[in-house]
Amino acid sequence: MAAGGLVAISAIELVPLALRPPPAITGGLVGPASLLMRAEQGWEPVARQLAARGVHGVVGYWGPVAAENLRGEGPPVERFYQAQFALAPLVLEADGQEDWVVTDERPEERRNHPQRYAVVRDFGGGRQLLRRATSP
Amino acid sequence: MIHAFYALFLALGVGTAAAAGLWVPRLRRTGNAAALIVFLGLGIGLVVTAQVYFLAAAWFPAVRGGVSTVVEGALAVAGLATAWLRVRRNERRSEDDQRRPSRPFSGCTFLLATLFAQMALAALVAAARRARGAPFGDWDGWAIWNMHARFLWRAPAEWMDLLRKPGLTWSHPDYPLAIPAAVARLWTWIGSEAGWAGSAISLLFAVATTGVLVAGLSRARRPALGLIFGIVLIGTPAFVLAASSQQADIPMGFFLLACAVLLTLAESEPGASEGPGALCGLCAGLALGVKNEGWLLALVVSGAWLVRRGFRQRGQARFGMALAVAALPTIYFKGWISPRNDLLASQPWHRWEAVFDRERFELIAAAFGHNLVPAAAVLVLLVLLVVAGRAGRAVAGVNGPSYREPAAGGSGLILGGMLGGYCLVYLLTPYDLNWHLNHSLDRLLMQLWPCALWFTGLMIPPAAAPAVMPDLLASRWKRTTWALANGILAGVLVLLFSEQRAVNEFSYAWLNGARVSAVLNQGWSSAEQNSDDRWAWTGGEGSIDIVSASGRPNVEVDFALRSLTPRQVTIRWSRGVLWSGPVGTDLDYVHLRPVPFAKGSLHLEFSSREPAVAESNQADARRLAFAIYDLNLK
Repeated sequence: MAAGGLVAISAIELVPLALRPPPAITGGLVGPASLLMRAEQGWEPVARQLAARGVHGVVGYWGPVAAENLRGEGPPVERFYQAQFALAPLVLEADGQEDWVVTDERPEERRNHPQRYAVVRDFGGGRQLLRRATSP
Repeated sequence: MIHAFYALFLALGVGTAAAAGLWVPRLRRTGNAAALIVFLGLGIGLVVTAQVYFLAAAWFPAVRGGVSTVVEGALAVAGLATAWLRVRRNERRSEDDQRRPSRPFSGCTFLLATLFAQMALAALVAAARRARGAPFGDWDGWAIWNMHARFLWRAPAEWMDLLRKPGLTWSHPDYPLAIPAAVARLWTWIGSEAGWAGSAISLLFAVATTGVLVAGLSRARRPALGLIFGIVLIGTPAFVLAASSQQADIPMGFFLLACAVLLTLAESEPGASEGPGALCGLCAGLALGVKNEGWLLALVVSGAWLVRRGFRQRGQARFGMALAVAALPTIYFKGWISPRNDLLASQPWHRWEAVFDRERFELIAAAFGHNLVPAAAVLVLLVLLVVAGRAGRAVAGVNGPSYREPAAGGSGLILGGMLGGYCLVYLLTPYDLNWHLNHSLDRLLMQLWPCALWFTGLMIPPAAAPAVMPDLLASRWKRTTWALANGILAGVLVLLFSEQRAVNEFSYAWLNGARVSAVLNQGWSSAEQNSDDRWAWTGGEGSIDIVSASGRPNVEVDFALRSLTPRQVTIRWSRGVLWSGPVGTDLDYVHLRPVPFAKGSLHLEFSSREPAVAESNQADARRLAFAIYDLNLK
């Protein structure tokens, strides 16, 4: 009974407390978790557009970091993984040249990519949906 | 929300029924048997239901939710029926109950229970807050477990093919799917991708681990000893942090502890060891579905069983059968679905010379020592305190006439075997050894921590209890008073928590009954403060989120800015520039006009084009641009 009473009291007070804002984030600087939530919001319209067009399977991803350097660390690298998380169950192929490609490059970050892709939609902030215009 | 409760309750029911169906301890008077079975059942149930969901998703993707629910229900009924028969059989042997002395709720236990309850509350609040800030957890949580759960949930027809795509190799698609399936199962019940599902599962595993440790030590020694070690576990910041960041090392630690507890109790509980043996085998088999380290655990636990129990014990057969049955879903996953494991694909047997590489061995020993010494110091101190203190006699075990005190040998074998296995993996790793150690050792040791506490608890030698031990909670009014006192204490604790800012909470205000907070987001260093001011620096770009649980029509923001060198600072929001002006080396006060705040969240981006400057002449000085001071919300 004693334990039950304690659990009841604690639960009643714990629920509103745990639900109150703001989110607690560890470390002096904000970690990738909150950036992840922002990336989720940013990729949401892209995901909707891809779903509406029936795209599934593997999609190319062109970002600020070359595929061979994605084992490194830092915000530009993390953007690839955040995009993959947000766009799942699509599989992103870094620097891939699939029929459909999503870009995540601001103008100052743009690298050289194949020219035979047409912009289907520009979502702003460097995020674009491209489609291969001609056969390779 | 209510559907999530049903799903978790069903998991608890399946697990508890399975645990009780395999083993109902015959010494019921100690009162810890039920708690032990329920906490074991919680962890077991979460993985059993996840494995059922995984198989349903693989074989019946279109109706996976319905099929898994029916199978889970059938498992719960079968487990309950077996448990009922087992209880009936035990009642006929109730004379065993007389062989072990009852353990009253002593003064020492009374104080420890109070402390444990308050600490559990504090740990839960801390974990829940952090989980709310990062609902998909840290790297492992979102990039592996929750992402794989998304494949299961979002692509029911093609998830098996997609997980094999080379583009996903970095996310370790060979990792077993019990944790992702547990999350996807909860999403299926809820009907949407609730961000908190992974957090809830992770925290429940932490609760189950704590419960098994406390109930196990209470049963093997005395409740007070269980509570002491429970307090140490929930007082370990890394444990609470790992639970809220959804690392699968917490469930892995649960199964490791469960195996050690069951192996130990199988040696000491009266009657045959078939029950604990089967349950131990079940836990070892289920661990395979949690992480790849589960294979090492199954091997080590099997070895420990053979060493401690021998080949001819009847419990051995049940142990092996339960392990084999529980391992089937993971064997199916490994054999037919998952790509090859990166460590095995590298053919480590060709690097066998590395086992004798002194340089690698020294590096590993140094890393283990660096991580283990503080933990070992805590454990030694605990033993000394409990044994040397006068309390030792009150909290250690009591020898009954026919009761064998549980020995620590089996748990020691498991701990040693796991440490040795980890060491071997590091010796043979194809990756850079420093990188591998830095990125995984602390988490692997977290798996061992609950078991290390259990082992240490068993190492404390039992002592004779006083002949007469007063039961401080003997009467109902005393128990009520105790509960009320704890409730008041909990209230004080909660009050203190609610006044405490979260880590990145720069400022808050109560406006129209709702708490509105300014949260430092990307680009700021930690907030600093003295008796007059509270401030945070940025290197040139930083964002602040104004958030509230309830929507408000608008909010006004006052603050001051200060720069190390004169510069222009601009504040933008979703509709463009909100404020722009010069900022000097003294405080410049800024008042932002009332900003629409309909959705309960407002994102402000602060930036300056002028470069940051070093804050001092020291080599490691921070490069800073400007700081925000004393933000007020109204």
